[in-house]
Amino acid sequence: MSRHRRTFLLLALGLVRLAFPPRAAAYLDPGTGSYLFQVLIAVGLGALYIVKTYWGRIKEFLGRRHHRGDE
Amino acid sequence: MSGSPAGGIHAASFRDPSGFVFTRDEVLYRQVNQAYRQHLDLLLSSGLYERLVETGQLIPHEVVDVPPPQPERAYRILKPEPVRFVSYPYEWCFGQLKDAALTTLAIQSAALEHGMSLKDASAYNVQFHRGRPILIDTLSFEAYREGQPWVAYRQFCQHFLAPLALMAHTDVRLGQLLRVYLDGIPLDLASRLLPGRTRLNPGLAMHVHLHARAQQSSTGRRARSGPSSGMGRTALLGLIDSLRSAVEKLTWDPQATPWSDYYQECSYSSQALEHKQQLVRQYLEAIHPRTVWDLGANTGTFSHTATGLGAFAVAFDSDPGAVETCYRACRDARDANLMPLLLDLTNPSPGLGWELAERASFLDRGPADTVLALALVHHLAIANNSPLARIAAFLAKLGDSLIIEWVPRSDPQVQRMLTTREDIFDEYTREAFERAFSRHFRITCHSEVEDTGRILYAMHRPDDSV
Repeated sequence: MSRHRRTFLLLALGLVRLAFPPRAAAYLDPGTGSYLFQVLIAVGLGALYIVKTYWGRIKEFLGRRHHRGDE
Repeated sequence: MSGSPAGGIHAASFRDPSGFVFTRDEVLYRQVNQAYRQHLDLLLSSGLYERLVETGQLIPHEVVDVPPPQPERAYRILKPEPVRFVSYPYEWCFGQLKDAALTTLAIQSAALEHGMSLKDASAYNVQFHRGRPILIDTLSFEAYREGQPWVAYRQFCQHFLAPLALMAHTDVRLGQLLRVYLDGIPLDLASRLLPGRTRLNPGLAMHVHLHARAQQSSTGRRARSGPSSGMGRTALLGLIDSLRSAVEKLTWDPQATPWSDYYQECSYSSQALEHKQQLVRQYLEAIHPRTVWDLGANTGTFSHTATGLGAFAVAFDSDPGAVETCYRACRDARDANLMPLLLDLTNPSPGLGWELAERASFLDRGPADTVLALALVHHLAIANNSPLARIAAFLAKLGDSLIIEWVPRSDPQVQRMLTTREDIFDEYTREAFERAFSRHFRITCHSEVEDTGRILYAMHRPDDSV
């Protein structure tokens, strides 16, 4: 299994697990959960950010070419 | 500012080992401790401080030579530029909280570019200064370590994202939950209160709903430290971008609130309104106040009269729609001297937090030079059953001088209030009003507002030398 597929599978399993949480202890510091959750969603958000940034650059490049074509 | 324990140290300034705020001779200073030395030096040498001050996102400070209250721990004493009126998130309208959230995220993005990160994302670290949100806690930054997640992620979601989502999707009045939960709205509570459709909104599904579940489901687990459990810089930028996008998509428009059409529906003709404005201006010119608190300000019509004369005005109103409208107008006009705030005068902000001193009460933040109480007295006396004597005593605590409008029983607004209730207000007469207010103020002038039967008074507290 490639590294990317493994990461995707782990992420998917993690999110599915979150959808069915066990009963929580009220005294638990929510900071720990936030920390783990952040690390869990990090891969996806990082990938999305890269796609968004490149997509922005492609749009900018095409826009510039289109603008030049108009002149 | 609220009470000062030993050495003038501010009562809210005890959590952060990096330093604290103190007051000496009525001037506010910040002691930076040796423990924070490396981070303060990096803030200044990395160019981050200069950049954020230039963009108006961080309060400027001077390094001063003042004896520190705790010399054994001190590294530097800073003198921050003073903020004219300290306000709290539960007094902000939707737009103010949203702008404060976006400013916090913009600061975090800038910090990452300069090798630093925000260690706090508390809404209480943001104030409105010259009309714009600004970070006032210079000690909120720490050196960024590669692989480190955003330690303030949970705080950002609780202080900003959850209340904004509740205000936008459930009810704008839920912003008041911030008054109960000083460390932000618990995410499991926000998740329960939000409508089901918000689970289909990617930003809210992730940062509120799943985040809340993650907090509950991590029972017994411990976060591992070190790069193996960390997140890279790109992932961190992705997280900030995702939060920004979630906040930007949240909107709330002040359409149908009880007071949104006040000036259209109320008993004023345009001529009477103009005359009232002229009288208020004339009285303000005579008093020449530096600070004005406009109580029941609606969208701030008369606060603008005060700022037009060079005063700094705080426009208080209990209607979220009116405050939102006023804030948007001020923001668009880049009005630096008017601060609209949400406040119910019948239940104003109390002292809150540890020893009731972390967040100052409404009264503790006064008095103002002048209080405007226009078209207000009948709401307090009739809608809230407050005796005139109590209203006078309360207003005397708020300001050194007072411009107040007497609304007689014959006024259509008062008559409307009395249609659905028994008239038990025998004491509601002009004579009783003057008698009650004369116990606390010296009435210096009064005039009738044309065509209304209403009387505008200017009064001064006897110890006020105007």
